[in-house]
Amino acid sequence: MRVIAFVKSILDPEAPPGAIRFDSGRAQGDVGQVLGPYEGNALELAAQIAEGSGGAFVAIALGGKEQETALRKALALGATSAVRVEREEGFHDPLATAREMQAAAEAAGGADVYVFGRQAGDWDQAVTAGLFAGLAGLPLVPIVQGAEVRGAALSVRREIQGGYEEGEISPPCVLSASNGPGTLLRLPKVKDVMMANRKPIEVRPAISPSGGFKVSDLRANAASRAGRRIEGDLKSQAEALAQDLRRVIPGIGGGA
Amino acid sequence: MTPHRVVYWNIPDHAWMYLPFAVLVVVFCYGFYRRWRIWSKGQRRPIGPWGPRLRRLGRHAGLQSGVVKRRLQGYAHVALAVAFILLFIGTLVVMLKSDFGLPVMQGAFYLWFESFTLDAAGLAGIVALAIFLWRRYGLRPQALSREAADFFVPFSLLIILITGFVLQSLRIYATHDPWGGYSFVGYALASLWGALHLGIPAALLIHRSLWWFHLLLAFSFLAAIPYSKMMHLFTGPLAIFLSEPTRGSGLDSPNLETAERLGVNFLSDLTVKDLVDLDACTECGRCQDACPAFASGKPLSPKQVILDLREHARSRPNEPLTLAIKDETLFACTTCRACQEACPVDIEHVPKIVGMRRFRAMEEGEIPAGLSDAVQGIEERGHPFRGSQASRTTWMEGLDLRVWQEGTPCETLLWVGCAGAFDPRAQKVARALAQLLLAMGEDVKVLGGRESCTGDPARRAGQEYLYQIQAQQNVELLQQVAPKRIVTMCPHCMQQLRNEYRDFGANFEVVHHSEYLSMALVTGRISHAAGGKRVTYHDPCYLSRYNGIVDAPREVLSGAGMELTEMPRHGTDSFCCGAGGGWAFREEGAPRVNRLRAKEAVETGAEVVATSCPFCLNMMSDGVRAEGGGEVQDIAEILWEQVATSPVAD
Amino acid sequence: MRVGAIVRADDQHAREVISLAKTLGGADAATFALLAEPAQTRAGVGAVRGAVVSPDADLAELAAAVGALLGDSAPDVILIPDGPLFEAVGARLAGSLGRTAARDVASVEIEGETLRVVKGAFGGKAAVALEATGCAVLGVRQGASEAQELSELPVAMVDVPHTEPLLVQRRAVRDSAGDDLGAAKVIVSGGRGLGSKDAYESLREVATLLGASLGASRAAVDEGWATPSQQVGITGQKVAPDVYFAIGISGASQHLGGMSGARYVVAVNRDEKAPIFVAADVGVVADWHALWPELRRALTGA
Repeated sequence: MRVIAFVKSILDPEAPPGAIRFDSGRAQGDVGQVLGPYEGNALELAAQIAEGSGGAFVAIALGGKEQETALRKALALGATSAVRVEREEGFHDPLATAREMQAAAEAAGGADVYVFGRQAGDWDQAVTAGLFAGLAGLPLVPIVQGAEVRGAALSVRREIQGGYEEGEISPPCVLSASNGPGTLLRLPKVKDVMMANRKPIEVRPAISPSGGFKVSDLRANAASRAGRRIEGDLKSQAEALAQDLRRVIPGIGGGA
Repeated sequence: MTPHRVVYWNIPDHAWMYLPFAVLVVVFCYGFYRRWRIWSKGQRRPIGPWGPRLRRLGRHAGLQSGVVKRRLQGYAHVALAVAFILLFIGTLVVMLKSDFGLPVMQGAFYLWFESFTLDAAGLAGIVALAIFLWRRYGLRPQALSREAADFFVPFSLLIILITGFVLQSLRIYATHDPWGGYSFVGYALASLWGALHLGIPAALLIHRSLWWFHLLLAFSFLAAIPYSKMMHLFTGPLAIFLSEPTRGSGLDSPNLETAERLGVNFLSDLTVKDLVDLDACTECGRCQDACPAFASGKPLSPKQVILDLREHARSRPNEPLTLAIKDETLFACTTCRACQEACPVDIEHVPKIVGMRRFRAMEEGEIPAGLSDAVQGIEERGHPFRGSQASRTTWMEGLDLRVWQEGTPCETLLWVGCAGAFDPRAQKVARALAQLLLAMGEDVKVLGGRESCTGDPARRAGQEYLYQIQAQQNVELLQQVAPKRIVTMCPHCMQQLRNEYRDFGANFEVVHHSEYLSMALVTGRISHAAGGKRVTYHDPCYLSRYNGIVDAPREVLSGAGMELTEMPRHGTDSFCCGAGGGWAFREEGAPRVNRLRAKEAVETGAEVVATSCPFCLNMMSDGVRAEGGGEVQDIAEILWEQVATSPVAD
Repeated sequence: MRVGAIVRADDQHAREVISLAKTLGGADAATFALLAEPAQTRAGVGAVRGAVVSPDADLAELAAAVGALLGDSAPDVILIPDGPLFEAVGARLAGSLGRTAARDVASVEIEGETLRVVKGAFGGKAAVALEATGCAVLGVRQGASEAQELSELPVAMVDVPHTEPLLVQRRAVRDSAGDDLGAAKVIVSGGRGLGSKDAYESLREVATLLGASLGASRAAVDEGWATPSQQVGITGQKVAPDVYFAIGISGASQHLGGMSGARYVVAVNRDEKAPIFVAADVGVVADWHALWPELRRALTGA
């Protein structure tokens, strides 16, 4: 099976509060770029499917140089080639993004399985995989936690409310990956990292479709509560906390 | 008449002994060749400065300074070694007389050396062997195994010595040796034969047969040396000579771009020294006794690692080492080097373990959970504290501390370390230290957001590639900053900045805060109120064993007016807190190492447990709390409390 | 612009979304509902058209049902409650209609041909206002609008054409661990700061003591201490308990977004700078391992 994984580097979501500033429609800060957490799950899923089927595995990212973090990681995990669609950093309409991805995927020769992260941790759109599937007329399996190649089919496990479901799907299809037991991103082997650092990344111009959403305002959410602290030594902290819990949760403590 | 004795008395056909001797030489050489064949597979390293190596050889092999760390068995070993050296010389003297006709077996030399001294040596040897056998089979310590070979080595030596005495006594008895009294043991035995009315013909017959038995047993013993742990006669001194003569890391910094294989997975990836080590091990088990992983029930015994590798080298030399050493074992090590400190023949366990970790981590991407998070954290964010919401400067909010700016000079650079920046407990130490430095009027700066992990956790985890990237970046930055000195509160950072970064072109003056503060106290740059608490000090492995710094932190404590009480294991014999080798970032099952160490600290009755490493601080805090002890503080915090409460800080 | 809504009748905030569609679209709002059974027809969700789909319908069946409801004249702006239904069909529907889409939408305004939405971004750290001219499919966040009294309308039932299931040999596994989080009154939740599976397991005792359900942060799920169904966060379960007790959770905004519906938040963390404290009503800076024995004593009196 040929696999295309769409990946994205984002401003470190674990950056300390306030490290990312939001103004004039942009998010900025002296914060590193890391592979988006769900894109990490997507990479793992794509790598497993490519390995399991012996197929080629192309990684595609949209954006500027900052995306090379994500693409290098993909190459280190076994992507056979990496493509970056040159596009300005920042917000883009998700439908435009999906069209951009479709064009890049076509140029890369298409695939049997398209893997997305369920949600990029910057703009939190969480619709690109679906839009792509809709545009391409392909079936979508959302929130995939693991996949296994079974001959020409793919056995997938996906999250549903209160559990998960498993079943088989015949490619072509679109998967959106989430975190789960089968998608924990592995550590790449160093030889592969070194090789990945030597591999070229193909850069393509964007087709820049117009229309869709534009940002009219972006602002930080205010902190919601003013926290009261319980101070003191452990024992008095524990007692004060217990008292507080008793106050808000009636009937705890086995009749105490 | 000059005192003497007839050599080969009663053994007219003694020339036949050259036949078994020839067999002995062949068997011995073949055995030696088999060992050498394994060593020759190893990677060769330049021998480097001979001076320190020879000095260490003199101390550790000649004076056996490592061996006698354990008093009883240590001195017994020295006695046995000296006894056999003397007996060997005595035998050479016999050879000089019989084969070269030199008149050496006579006069005072004969009486006092060949008779008296050698009898004393033989007797000392018997006592030493008895002690060994009693320890192994009477006390039955866990560190000693009780296999057949463990019995036959001391037992054959014992029989050789005893038969020697019996032979001597029969000669004295049968020849009415007028100088027999100088051979006091043989003489005493001879009087026994007299009391038993042993007939002379019988004595001659017994003597002759026993002589051949004694000879053949001694020859067999010699021939067996290369096949047994007696090989340490040669490999022990060799291993000592080849061991790291300075306090480095013992780790090499290979060029990974050109390396054929990353890390160690075959015998041929080990160094010659590593392979000699395998044959130098006498299975004394001291490493195992000192090992925190073993003591806390982890599947690691440093002794067993060496023995497993040795068995592997002999039985399947071309197979991967992963067959011999499992991951649970490999990653259980805290790299505290207690094993190496304990080893009488300077076997280096840690570099082998890290070497094999390198293979697992780099070639196969296998790093235990938790530790791999930390390693990824270093890669992505420049620090291993995954999930921390602090920035590199959060800890210094409100302090008048400046961040170095490009193009400005730097007098004292405070290298905070990731723990100081991101760990809530260690942040307080960083604040205390910064305030002390500021109070001293020091022109001190920090790197702020440009500081990045030294890479130490990655290196100890085997992720040498990431480590080298971090090292190169940091060295480059520090060369640009060019501080007069670097002060750090983290022994792991210090080990990197001071020692291991040398491989990457670093040559900075790096001091641990204990050294800097103790100097400041001596020169009177800090003054303070009297303290007076009872404190025990836990030596961090990377400070004490890796860098030999044991006095400075104690000077800071006594300088702060504290009353120091020591734990049984302290200084370079300190017991690890359990955080080293990446364990700071892993979850450890019970029993935890820190509990064992904390128990020891609490039992001193000290009010405060002091340390001088942020990782030890956290581990000891957890442990001491669980053991019901008092406070755990860094020496900088203890000193700062004293300085801050001083009525006048001048 | 024509506004429509597609809901599952038994969805928690189905009526909110229908109400929003009616507010925006007025009388000709096209409100469609997927019903678990025909008897729900008169349940009063305010839908004008309905289709019956079983609660554990396959992805293909859901898509077919939505297609049948829309017929051949899809409204310009389609509102869907953000949740499993949107996840399954929302964005893909938008793509197949050639429209854009947005989720986690907190407010929607329509002015002439201009559509304005506000949605969360950066894991809830920020709110972004977006503007578009034209059609869109929107996933509406719970609480984005008030549920109004909806008059009962005659519901026109449409048939769902038979489809081959998307996933064959399908098998659903219920993982009861996170089952009751949505409805729980008290939730005890653990994160990376706990340090180990054993420590996370200790929360079970806390949960029993407090009569609480057990949640987790993404870190705890990734470490394998908790199952994915227990994950609280913007992409996990969004919860709204009376009391949310966060232990060893630093408070990544992703997580805070999932627990923002809680009425009262209690946090225990070692790191006094942890953002969870900003989102908490009461905070204790302490190491859980040390605090727990004391707290247990204080709670049980033992």
